[in-house]
Amino acid sequence: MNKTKSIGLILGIIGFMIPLFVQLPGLSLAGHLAMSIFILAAVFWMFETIPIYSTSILIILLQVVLLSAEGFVPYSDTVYEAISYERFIATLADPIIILFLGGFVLADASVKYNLDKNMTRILLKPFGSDPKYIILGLMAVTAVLSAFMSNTATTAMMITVIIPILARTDYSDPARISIALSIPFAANIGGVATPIGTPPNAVVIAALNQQGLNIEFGSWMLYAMPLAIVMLIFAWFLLLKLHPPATKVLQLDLKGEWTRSTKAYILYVVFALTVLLWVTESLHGIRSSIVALLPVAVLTLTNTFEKEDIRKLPWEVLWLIAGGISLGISMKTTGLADWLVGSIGWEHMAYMILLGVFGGFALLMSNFLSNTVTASLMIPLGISLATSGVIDGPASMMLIGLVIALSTSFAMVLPISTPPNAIAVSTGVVKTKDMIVSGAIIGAVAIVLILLMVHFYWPYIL
Amino acid sequence: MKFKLGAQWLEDRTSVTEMLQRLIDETGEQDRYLFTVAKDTKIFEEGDTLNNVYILLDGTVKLYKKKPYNEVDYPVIELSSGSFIGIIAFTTGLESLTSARTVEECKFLRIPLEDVERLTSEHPNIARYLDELILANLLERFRQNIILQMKLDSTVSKLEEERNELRKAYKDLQEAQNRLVHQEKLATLGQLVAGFAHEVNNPTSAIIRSTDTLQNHLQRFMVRAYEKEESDWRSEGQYFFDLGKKAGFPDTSTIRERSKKLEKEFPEAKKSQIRLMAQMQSELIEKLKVLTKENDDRLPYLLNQFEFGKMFQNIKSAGERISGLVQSLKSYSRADTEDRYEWIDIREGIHDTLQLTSNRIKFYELYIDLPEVPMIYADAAGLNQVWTNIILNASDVMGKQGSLDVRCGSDEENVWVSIRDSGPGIDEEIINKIFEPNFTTKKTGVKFGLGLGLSISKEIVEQHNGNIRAENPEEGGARFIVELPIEKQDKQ
Amino acid sequence: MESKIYILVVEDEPEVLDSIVRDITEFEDHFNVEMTDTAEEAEEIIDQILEEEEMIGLILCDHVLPGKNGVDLLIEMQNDEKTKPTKKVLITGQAGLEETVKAVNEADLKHYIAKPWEKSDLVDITRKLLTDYVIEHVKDPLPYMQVLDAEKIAEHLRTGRQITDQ
Repeated sequence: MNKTKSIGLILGIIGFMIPLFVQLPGLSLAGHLAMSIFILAAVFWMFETIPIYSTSILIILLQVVLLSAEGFVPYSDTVYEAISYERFIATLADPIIILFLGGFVLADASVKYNLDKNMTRILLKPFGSDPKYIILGLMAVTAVLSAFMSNTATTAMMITVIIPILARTDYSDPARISIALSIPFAANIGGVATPIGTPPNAVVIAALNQQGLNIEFGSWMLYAMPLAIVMLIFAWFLLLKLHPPATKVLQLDLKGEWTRSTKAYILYVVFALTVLLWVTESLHGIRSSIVALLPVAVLTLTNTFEKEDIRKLPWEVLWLIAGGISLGISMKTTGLADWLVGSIGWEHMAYMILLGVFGGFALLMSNFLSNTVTASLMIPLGISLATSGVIDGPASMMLIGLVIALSTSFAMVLPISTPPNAIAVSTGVVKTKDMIVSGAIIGAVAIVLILLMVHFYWPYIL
Repeated sequence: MKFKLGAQWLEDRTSVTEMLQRLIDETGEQDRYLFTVAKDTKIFEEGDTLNNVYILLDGTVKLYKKKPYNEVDYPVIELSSGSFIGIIAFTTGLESLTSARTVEECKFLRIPLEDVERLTSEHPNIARYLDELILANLLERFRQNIILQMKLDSTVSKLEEERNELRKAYKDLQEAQNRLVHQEKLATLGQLVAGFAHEVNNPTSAIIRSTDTLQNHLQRFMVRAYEKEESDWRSEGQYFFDLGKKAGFPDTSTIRERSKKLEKEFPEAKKSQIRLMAQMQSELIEKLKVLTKENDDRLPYLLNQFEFGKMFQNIKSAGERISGLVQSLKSYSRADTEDRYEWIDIREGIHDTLQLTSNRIKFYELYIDLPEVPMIYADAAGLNQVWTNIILNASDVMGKQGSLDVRCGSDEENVWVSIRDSGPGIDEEIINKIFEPNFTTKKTGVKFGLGLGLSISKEIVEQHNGNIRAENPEEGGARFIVELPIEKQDKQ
Repeated sequence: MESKIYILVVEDEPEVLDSIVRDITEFEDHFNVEMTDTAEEAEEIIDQILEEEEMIGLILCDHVLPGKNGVDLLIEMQNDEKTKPTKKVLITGQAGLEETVKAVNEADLKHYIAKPWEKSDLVDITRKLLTDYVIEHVKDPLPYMQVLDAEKIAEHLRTGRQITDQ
């Protein structure tokens, strides 16, 4: 265990103890315990004392033990109405988790049958050989794929596409940097476009769900996609401005063949059908998480997706999300979130500044922490802020949720900010310095844009 | 039949014949029996049944016998006067075994068989003389037989003798051929080596020469490149370059040890730089510490200078190694001398051989003790073969571990060389056979490809009137000792 | 970065050893290069590395060495569970067919480099084998991506799902 991890361990345990020994005025016993769990989770997540998904599982365990009706703490005499432990563990099968599972199965099956590569090949064709448009093409394809697949897997795949291009590009050509940066940026940006694009979306959607707000797949796309498109184009301009390609022509030679087996055809059909059903939810009314069972069921029962493939699914991401959802539940039910919100004088801040602070803080935090963790830590506070009446109405809850979810995804300043960034820097083509400059500009512009949308766009379509 | 034993008639049949003729004359029937036959007349054929008795009175008749396959007559015996022709057929009554032909004009009695009965009964004396004649003839034939037998015997032993001579000549021829083949091989090797040496020497000297020039250019280039820098950059660079040339190679464990220490002393340095520094002399390290204390930029520059020096030294020593190897090859095979025999110091040949076989013997501990010995008049290339064969044999036996002890010395008459390995020694059963041609304990052929191993070695040594022997010394292994006379010998 | 990965170079001629190491110096920032001049010394180093729970990714081994030869060393490494994963390369000026076949069959020889070698060949082979090693035995191959075959590692990330969104 290295130094950081040890510090995290010590701080986490101390932090866990503080609420047990310090009486906080206005906070119930359950609230104190929830705070202990919150602090422990926050410290462990920040210092990565244990893997972040382990922290999530630890959260659920501690909640069951300390906060559930079946737990070891008697709550019969207190104001806290202890909820059943089932609610905590049910987060592992939350509808959003099932939606993600569907997305994972589709994505992994696509990798297995090279659907992702072949789509890239087809989609990149119209972009010609001008490096400017090739970069746009790379970004568009990356964004589209990462809206449905994991940002990381998309980046890894796109890196295999760009490495031969980089190898043919002159070593001093800035095009190398713009190409190498375009991939992780587009992957991060593309992730916001759909509910399954990236885990923070899931945490936020689940939290809103707990409040009785159902967000349809298509509606989310309606809220978030315009932002993604505008940011993608902005990022493209920015990269061309900062690292203008010197070469006039770039040859893409993408070779490959569509996999032509029955199973591959099943995948193509299921993929198309699932996506179609997701985006048309408002027409037929079938919930996206129910639709998500379609690929899981069909692909496994046709053996298109086999046992080994199921084992290789990124289950830890689902646990991570579940832990975040669960943390939100307990913070809400124990009154901790309200207490935390109440202890800060929000009233003195203007509505827009408030959202700006939340967005900015989420962006800052997720540059250093996992995006999902940031969303998990912030969404209970955001929702409390809305329900406590500091900002008004159901629409405000929705707005703050969107601000938090979307802001976390635009954190792309450092290699450690997101796995796609880490992969891009690892190629050695991009210097961290280049990433900081363009990543910071994109983040700042994104916050401004989100706030503009809060004011001019979302209120009119919600 | 009554004979006078020891009688003269046995030796001299003429008198008997004369008596017989006289008796026939007396009967008055001589005209019936007496014939004169011209030269080359056939009297009877082989296979005829004889109806007459022929008694040669005068002249010579030859008996012929057909050879079994080609029907050509060849002479069996020559009969002179007094002989009874067709005596076998007459006494046995069977077909004649031979043909009879006159050699010159002959006079003989021809008595039909039916008359013999009559004449012998009418004239008992005729019968007596006839008997005597038959006996004398048989005796003569028997004598002939014995002589023949003795002739045959001497012919056989003569043949045997000739065959042995042939065998020896063949063997000599074979050995001579082996020797010639071997000499031819050596000669070919010599030519090959001469060509090879020529071909290798040119590029090698080109490399060495260009490197020298390159070194000068590089130094001038450096001077110009750092003209604007402080002047001490140049002199320090030169210092590191020069010491790089003298650095040599510490062994890997030393490098490791030094690297560990240097990593602490130069925490900023890259691993490749540490590796280079680990090869530096300690005075350079001290200097480096002082110089880089104020200015870190100098480190790569100075290390480069050091490495340049090292590389130039590497190229130079590699080139020298190639030249050295070529030189050894040349003197080993005597590619550059016409006359094979000359006054030589055998130690040079041994050194050449050790260098050329270094690939095989580098695994061994070598004990070499070669004090000065008198020059001898010898075939250097041939002797090199001897050393090579012995050393390679030792290497085959020992594999990848062992020791080799090579020494020489001299007494009043001889120079001797002894080569001892630490292998298992030579079986007593075969120790006397190892110098025989084609003797080998190896399953597959000779690795070095130069031929017949120890038998050739023995032959080469014997050509020098020296001797080679093998023994199992008490301290273990096998020892080969070669003794060569110091006096100039008439070469064979 | 996880535990260090070593490249072991075994060669008895110092000049040759020096030039091998110089040729692969571009890997030195990410891998530790150890030099030894005998098989026996190599074994000591291997023990030390394993004792510190570090990995040996690649061995570049000369064939003819004083004492134990290179092929035997490689075979012994292949027979030891701990050094079995190490990628093995024989560098040689004169191995016979027999020895080479033995090395291929018994030591899982990955490559055979004939002296004199081209730097680019040596670097390519080293890169290829280290990439394979890293993909097979390292949990997080990202730190090695820039010196190794980035495309192969990215493809491995795509299909192997080592790294996920967080």
